[in-house]
Amino acid sequence: MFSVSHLKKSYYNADGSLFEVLKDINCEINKGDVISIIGPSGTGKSTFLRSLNMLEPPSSGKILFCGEDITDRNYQLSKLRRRVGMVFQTFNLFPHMNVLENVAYAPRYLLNVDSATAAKEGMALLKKVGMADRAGALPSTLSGGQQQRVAIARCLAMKPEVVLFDEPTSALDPSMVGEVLSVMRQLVSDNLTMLIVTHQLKFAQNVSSRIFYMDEGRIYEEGTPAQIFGSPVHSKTKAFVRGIKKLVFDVENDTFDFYGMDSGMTAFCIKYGVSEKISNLLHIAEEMSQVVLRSYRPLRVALSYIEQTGELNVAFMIKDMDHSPLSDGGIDEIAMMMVRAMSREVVEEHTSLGFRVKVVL
Amino acid sequence: MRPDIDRKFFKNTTDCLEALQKGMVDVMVEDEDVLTDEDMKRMGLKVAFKGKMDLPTAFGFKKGNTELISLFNEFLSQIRSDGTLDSIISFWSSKHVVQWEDIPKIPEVSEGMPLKVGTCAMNAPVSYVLNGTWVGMEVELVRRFAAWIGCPVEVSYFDIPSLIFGLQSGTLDMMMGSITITEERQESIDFGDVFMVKHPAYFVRDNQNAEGQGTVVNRMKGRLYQNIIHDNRWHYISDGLLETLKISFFSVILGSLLGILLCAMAGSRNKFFNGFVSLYVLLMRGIPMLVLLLFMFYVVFSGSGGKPTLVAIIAFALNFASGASGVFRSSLDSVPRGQTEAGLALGFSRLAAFFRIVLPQAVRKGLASFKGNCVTLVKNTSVVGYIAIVDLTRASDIIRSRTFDAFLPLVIISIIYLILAWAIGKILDITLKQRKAYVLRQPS
Repeated sequence: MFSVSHLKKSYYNADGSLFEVLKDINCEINKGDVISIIGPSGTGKSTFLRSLNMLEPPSSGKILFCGEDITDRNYQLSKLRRRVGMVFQTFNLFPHMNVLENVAYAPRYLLNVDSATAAKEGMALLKKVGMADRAGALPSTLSGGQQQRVAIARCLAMKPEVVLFDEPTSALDPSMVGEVLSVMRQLVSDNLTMLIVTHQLKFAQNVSSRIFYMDEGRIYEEGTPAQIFGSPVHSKTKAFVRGIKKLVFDVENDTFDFYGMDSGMTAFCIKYGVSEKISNLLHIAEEMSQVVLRSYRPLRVALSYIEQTGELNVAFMIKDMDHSPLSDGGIDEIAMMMVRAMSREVVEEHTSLGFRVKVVL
Repeated sequence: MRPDIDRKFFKNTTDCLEALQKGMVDVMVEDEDVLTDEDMKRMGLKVAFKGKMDLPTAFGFKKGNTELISLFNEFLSQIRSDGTLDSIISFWSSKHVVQWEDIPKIPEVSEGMPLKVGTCAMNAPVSYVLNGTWVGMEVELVRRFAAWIGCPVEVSYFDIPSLIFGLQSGTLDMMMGSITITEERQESIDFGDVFMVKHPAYFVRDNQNAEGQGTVVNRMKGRLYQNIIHDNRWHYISDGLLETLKISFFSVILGSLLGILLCAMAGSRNKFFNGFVSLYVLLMRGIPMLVLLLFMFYVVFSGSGGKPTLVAIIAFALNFASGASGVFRSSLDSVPRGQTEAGLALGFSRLAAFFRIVLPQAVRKGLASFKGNCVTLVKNTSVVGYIAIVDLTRASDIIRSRTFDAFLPLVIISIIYLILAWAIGKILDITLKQRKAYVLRQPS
């Protein structure tokens, strides 16, 4: 359906410097594909998606749609766009029309469907997205999730062959994400060809036939959900799909600012939504770095949070050490007992750099 | 002991008379023949004493226009020798109320270039409007002069600086209005021969003579009759209203079109266009409307012998365009980019997305400020009297100059302006707001 080769896009920044968003994109998109595009922010996911209906014309490269080059100056874009629907992050419903008029407007004027038919088909689509009872309402009176469902119905009214979803749930309150994803799941089962830029990794894993992991302005890794989420090849992909967040402190000697470490860890936990573990974490960090491993310096303290599993752990790394410090004599056994009591698991492992004691909370 | 004298200058006799009656000034110095005995009795005034000073009065011409001046002087000496001049002066200076029927009708030539005469006086007996026609001592003189040289005559009302400018720019041929020859004036214009020597009179309040008769209601009835019904004076108001409407309507249409053009230029990527619009808006915002109007009339269109109404429409359209372009631009910018994108993504062309999706929303957002601009324009048109257009405001001046009633005519036209402002809002609401972009009935 789409065949993209050597697609590039660059902007001039305000200071005149050139910024390359898309460096070299190559891919094939086939009928029936449900492709989720994932990756860190600012790596060109939306830009790539928007270049597929030429809302963002590329700087160079080719995009073939059903064999025709849509980047060609003479290509009639409105023809393409009638066949390629788009759902926006910010919904972009027409605020001066009610829900039904939003849905029926484009078929009425672009496909010359008569009013009665447009209204009837519009109502059928609204029923499909669960918005039929609000057909007469103005968009401003709807919740974000409801607006996005109407936007999906509006897009479907043109009977598109492929629909581009540009972060459809990113602007939504978390409580409304579910209703939009359910509607999209229904479209997947209707065998609609879809490209979805999303941060909802679970959803991407469940519904997609293929995943594009984008980074550094290109499709960094591509594969089935099982490949990308189960056994990613590249370490960047792995870090992203696991959602590993890290915070590292190096304790060189006893002049180290332990209070600073406490506040850093507190902020980290709040940011990733595990504030209930703050108290245990701070106790463990204090007992380990200032009592149990008091005589081991330098000591690297690494706090990690893995989004995929929700695991929080704190690792204590002693460089160039070949055995576990816990088996050395003279460590404070009582303190170590307290740490074990407050944690789920204590892992002792030898790594290429030295020896690590990992405490899982 | 001599009291200090605080001098105030009034632009016309009506305002000065009102100030005298209300006690804001104690003495009014004017030509002795400006009020009839009847007027003075009605207003409770009297002449304290007459001045001894000679005021040689003459017509003004463009400096160096010797051809017209000598013609006029020849005409003057002719009517002086045959006694016509004396009878004209005695007819108009007799201090009784002149009736329309008694005024000699001078046959007028209708063909050819008119003799354009400006007057700075709108009061009896010099030059004033009666039954919609300019009459008065000096008006009769120029009518006779025009008939003598065989051309039509056109009289219009300006203040003195505008008259002098009009002579210099060629918009006018002669100026009048009880103009006294002074050395200072002789520097910028030439005068014809003196046709009359006037003397000033010192008017003061005369409490014994004040007329206090009648109830408040009856007095009000009398004033209303004087200002509206008598001599069909409401005609001035209805004609003036029509003129105000004409200027406002065409200025809004022309100005909006120009505003659309400016708005498009401001939105373009062309740096020159952007700069031009910024400069234009800066100029129009900075120049007072009256100054722009006078500049257009005396400088830009001075040679064209221009129709004042047309000049006013152009000047107001130019001014309106700058405000309108701002309103258009900001209301278009207030429609989020996502709206255009949503339209494009559905398959609308750029043009269709603009007209079908963006524009209806922009109209809704900009309507209130556009209405405000229109109302401001209508009220601003009240300065067109400066270029001799008889609009609603100038109509009230004409009535005031006859009735010496300072306020009632102003109250009447204020009410009319107020109704106009309300009506404009309503009309714009009905034509722009009520029209929905697209209406669809829900199938039952």
